[in-house]
Amino acid sequence: MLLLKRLSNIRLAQINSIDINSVVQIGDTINMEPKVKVLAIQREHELFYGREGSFENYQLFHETIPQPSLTEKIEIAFVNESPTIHVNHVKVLAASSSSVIQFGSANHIKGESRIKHIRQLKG
Amino acid sequence: MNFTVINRGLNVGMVKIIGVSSSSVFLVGDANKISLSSVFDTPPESLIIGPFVPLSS
Repeated sequence: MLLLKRLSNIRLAQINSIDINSVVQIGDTINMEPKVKVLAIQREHELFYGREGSFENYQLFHETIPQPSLTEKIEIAFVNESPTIHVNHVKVLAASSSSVIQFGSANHIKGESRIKHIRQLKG
Repeated sequence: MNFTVINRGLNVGMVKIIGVSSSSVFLVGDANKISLSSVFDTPPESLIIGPFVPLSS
């Protein structure tokens, strides 16, 4: 199946920063499943306790995310008149939180990110 | 349902992106299946006004 896919031709790629659980992939992939859990705490003053908090305390880290179910039968045909995709210049400032930058074909990508954001202000 | 895709020549000059974030994909190529989910929660009760106590572990 993947052999039928087109070739990606990128002349220049500039990527500045790759952060938590992100991927820059040059080439083809079969399966990619990046998942990330983030507990982001933002305080009015710079204060970091190190080991604090727990994913267990927040429901969003263990609830199941509903996925769309494909029930309709679809016959798909691809005609690749040109065998390549050409991009002269790619410039990305940053990638973060289980995101994917890929130059090439992918069979299946399943990404998931769960972020709990908490703000603490001085009383 | 029948679905036919004809991919003709594709030439792109420049792609400029500031950020790819929270389970998103920037793909130059073909894909069979992509499923991406993102949950972001910042409810009113997550705004804590008071002393800076550590989060309960």
